[in-house]
Amino acid sequence: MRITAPHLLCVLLLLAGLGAGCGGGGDQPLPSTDPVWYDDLLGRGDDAPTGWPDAAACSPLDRVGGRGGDLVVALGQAVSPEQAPVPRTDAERIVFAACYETLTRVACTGELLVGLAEAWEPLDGGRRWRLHLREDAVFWDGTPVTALDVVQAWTRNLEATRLFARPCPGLWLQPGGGGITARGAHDLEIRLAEPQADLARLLAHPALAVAVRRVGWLWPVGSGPCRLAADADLPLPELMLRPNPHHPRPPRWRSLTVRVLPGADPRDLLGAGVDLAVVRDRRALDYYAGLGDVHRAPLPWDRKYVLLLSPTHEVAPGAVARLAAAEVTVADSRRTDRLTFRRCGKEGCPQLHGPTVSVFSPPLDPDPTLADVRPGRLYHLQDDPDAAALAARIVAGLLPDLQAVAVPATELARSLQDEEGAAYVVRLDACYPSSCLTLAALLAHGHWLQATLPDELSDPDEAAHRLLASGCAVPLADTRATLLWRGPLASLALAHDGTPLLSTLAVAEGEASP
Amino acid sequence: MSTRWRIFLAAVVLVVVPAGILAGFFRGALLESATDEFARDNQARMQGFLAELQRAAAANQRLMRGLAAAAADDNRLRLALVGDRDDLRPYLRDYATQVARTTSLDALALLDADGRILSSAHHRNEFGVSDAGLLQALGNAGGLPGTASDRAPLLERVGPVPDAPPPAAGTAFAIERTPSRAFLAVISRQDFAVGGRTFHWLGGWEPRLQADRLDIGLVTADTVFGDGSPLFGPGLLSEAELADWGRDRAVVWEATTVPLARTGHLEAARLVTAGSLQPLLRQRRQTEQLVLAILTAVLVGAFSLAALLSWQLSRPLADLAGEAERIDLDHPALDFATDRGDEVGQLARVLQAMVQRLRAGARRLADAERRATLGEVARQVNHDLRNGITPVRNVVRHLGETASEHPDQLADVFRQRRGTLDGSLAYLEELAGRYARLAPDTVRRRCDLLAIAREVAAAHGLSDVAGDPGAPDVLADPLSLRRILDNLLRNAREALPDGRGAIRVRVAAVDDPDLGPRCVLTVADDGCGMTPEVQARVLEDFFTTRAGGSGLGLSNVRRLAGDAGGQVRIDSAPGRGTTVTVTFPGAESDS
Repeated sequence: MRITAPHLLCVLLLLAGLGAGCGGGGDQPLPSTDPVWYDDLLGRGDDAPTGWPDAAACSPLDRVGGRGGDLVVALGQAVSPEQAPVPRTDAERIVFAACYETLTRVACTGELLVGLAEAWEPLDGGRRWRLHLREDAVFWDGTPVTALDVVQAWTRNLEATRLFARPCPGLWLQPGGGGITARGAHDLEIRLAEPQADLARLLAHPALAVAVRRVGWLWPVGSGPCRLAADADLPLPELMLRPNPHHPRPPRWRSLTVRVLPGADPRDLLGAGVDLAVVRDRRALDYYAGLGDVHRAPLPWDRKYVLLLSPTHEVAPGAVARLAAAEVTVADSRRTDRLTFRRCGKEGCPQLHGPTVSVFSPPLDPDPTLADVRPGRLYHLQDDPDAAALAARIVAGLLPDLQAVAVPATELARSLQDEEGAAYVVRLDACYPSSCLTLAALLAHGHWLQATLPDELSDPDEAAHRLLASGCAVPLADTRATLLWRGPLASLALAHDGTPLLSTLAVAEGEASP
Repeated sequence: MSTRWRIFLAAVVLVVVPAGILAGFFRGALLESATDEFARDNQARMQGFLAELQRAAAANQRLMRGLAAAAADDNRLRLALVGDRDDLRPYLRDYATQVARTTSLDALALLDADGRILSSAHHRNEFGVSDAGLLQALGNAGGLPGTASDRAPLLERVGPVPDAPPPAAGTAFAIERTPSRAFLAVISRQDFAVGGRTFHWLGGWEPRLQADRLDIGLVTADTVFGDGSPLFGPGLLSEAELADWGRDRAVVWEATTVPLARTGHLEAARLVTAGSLQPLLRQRRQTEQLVLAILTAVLVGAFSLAALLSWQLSRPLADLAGEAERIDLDHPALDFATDRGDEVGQLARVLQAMVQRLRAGARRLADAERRATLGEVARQVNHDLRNGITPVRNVVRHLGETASEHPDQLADVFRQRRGTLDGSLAYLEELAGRYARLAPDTVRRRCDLLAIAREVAAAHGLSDVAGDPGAPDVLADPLSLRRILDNLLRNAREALPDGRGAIRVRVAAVDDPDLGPRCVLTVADDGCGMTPEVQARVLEDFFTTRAGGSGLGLSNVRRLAGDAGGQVRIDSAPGRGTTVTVTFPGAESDS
């Protein structure tokens, strides 16, 4: 690797930031924010995702679609009705995005679109919001969607996200502001603790999708363009999706089978009879590249891995500088040294100082099976091979005094709150259609992260710079999924977080089966 | 037979007979144990072979699973398998060879779902050939047995063996072929999927059919596989030859049955073991030698113990017997006291009590003897008085007869017989005086023994008296010397049969270089003589061979001679007369 002047400057500035300590005074000179790119084994050289993707990137299948056809999609993670419509896995993100609706939608290009709510209005400078539901919004079973259904759905969803230990939109919706109230059959009012200008975008978060439990239905009943067959059994090797005839924009295909293959080699997803798959594995991409009949299209960068370093537990001097030179070879990824978010503008972002993740209320005692958790360890989320690979590389090459430990999400959240470990590898999914909330979600992992920022700071860009300068956060990699398909597919749209919207999938014109 | 020998023989018999029986029993038991041990040892070796086979099979299965994972992870192989990439066909064809080279597998083949060989390491020319039969057979295989049969009789072929717990399925013996040879291999099957299609690894190794001095063979319906022994050479013996060979030269027995994958089916092959009997025979010889050595040692020990025991037991008895032999009235003071608590001690105590009783009896006998001696004295007095009175009575009767018949001759007869009366009276007076001074008051003075001998002999009407004039005087009581001579002469005359024969009295001088001058009195007769038994006891008190004899004559001689310091010796033989020699110390010339 060639050492350039910007390299040295960056290292010096990072060391200066470490010397000042985490949460140093706001008068400290900020480090340079110029991007410094390193060699990437993939050598993709894409620009940093500083904005929303363009229309071309948001339309990987640009052919004209026709009606009819029975499609098969293979997904490599579990899909469970247990906590639906709140997604826990990438596969659930894809399936639930087709079946359940949020109040608003944000297009892949960043455009705010109508969801279940057809109108929204900020009151009191953004402290209250009033929304009006679509009159024609109907669940799969034909019952209309009411404001009370939304309230009940959100209540259940927020509880589910607490169980997942995820910083979710509920953090900024519920506490202290009165929450959400049904003002009529189709009218809702949301009260916030702090004024929030972009609440409408926040409502497009997949964890705020609306679904209700119905007797006789295995899956929660939603109002999305696709419906899940009611008679599906667990375990679910296959899910059958059919068009929701009550939706104004139903899919054009006749049926869509989702093969759920958790734990399967991603190279086996796009097997015989499978039309479309989504993979992240780099070797799988190489493999599929060797198959002549498989098409591929990268989806927008949707996941960022960040290394969080606890200021309480001193990491070896110079570790951060060395981390900046770490090679990252996970998934379809690229290394980054910046905390950049889509549309990370200069709008005020009060959520940066908001509540942190509270997994349990009241907090539970530490998991006795993890009683040997102690400082000197680097925690990462289990069941995340990319996080595990990053942690292993960091421990092996840069921070040999640490020990990588894979823990469940709840335990990771608890240890972050308690600042128990020396370091953490956390991931940020692009499910927040707001750069402000994405950064806030990162800071919500612990008060010790929020303490790195001055109290009144609300500029997300500056907040990101200060967080980096504190040495408490080191961005590691951006990763993305790749869409693979075989056969004449057409017209696939993406959600704001890069999720393929299966409801928009279609067979190419003239190829659909009768 | 002495008690010692009896004890010895009894001990020997009591030890030797049971030892012999036990030796026979232990010999049989040891030989049987050695045989069993040999069988168990071979069984254990076979067990170890099977366990090793199991471990190797498990390792092979793990390896095959790893190969499946590696194959599924190899993008090029994936593309070759499901991508129909012609450019990757050589890679696919060489894949098994490369993998086998890395893993040291003896047989490895990659098959598709239909059983067609896509890649083979041991037979590269089989590309495209269907091996579906073997694939199917391995699919039905339950695995290798983990244990051998419980017991396999020596030199005996056994029937079916109990089924062993099956290990992981998909492993069996199989006959693989290379272009140059066929060989027996343990093959595992491992399935894996790529791109929704199923493929199979068939791989394994050629087992070494030996286990520590034990040759192992796999007997199928038509073939015997094995190595390392004449039995399992390339010639492949028939079943009958196998049995004959085992009966004559070695031990062959069946261990267990194993699955053998043949084309399209599984058959039960028998895993047999063969080994030489020499170790067992050698062990049996050693056992017999050991038993013989132990028996010999036991016998030697038994003899030694018997000898020691008999000596230990008989020695106290012999000692008691020796002591008891010395018991007589002259030695009544023997001590048998002992602190032993056994029967010998009890016997010693009995003897001790007996000796004590004997000692008391001797005392009583001595008292009785003294009393008898007093009676003898009385009889002696009576005898002596009669000797003195008888002439007086004869003279008085002669005088009375003369007075009545020839009163006139009375004075003449009185004068003639007055000397007899005076002598008898003088004798009586002297005798009375002597008895008055009986016992201690003897007067010892120098006496001319020859003169006294002549005087006494004359009294007894004997004339053959001779002596050495130079004989020394004897320092003794003259009366004692007269009594000695009187007793000796009377005995000699009584010994003469019918009074015929000579009695010779001699007095001689002897000069003993140690004891000085001696005066020897000899009284010899031509009488009947004495037997040695009589001679041995003739000096005892009250011993007599004559009816009416007192048995005190010679004993008095012995005592009287002893009082004078003399010694009495008797030389006699039946029919040859008796010579009594009394040797007195000579009186000092100046005394």
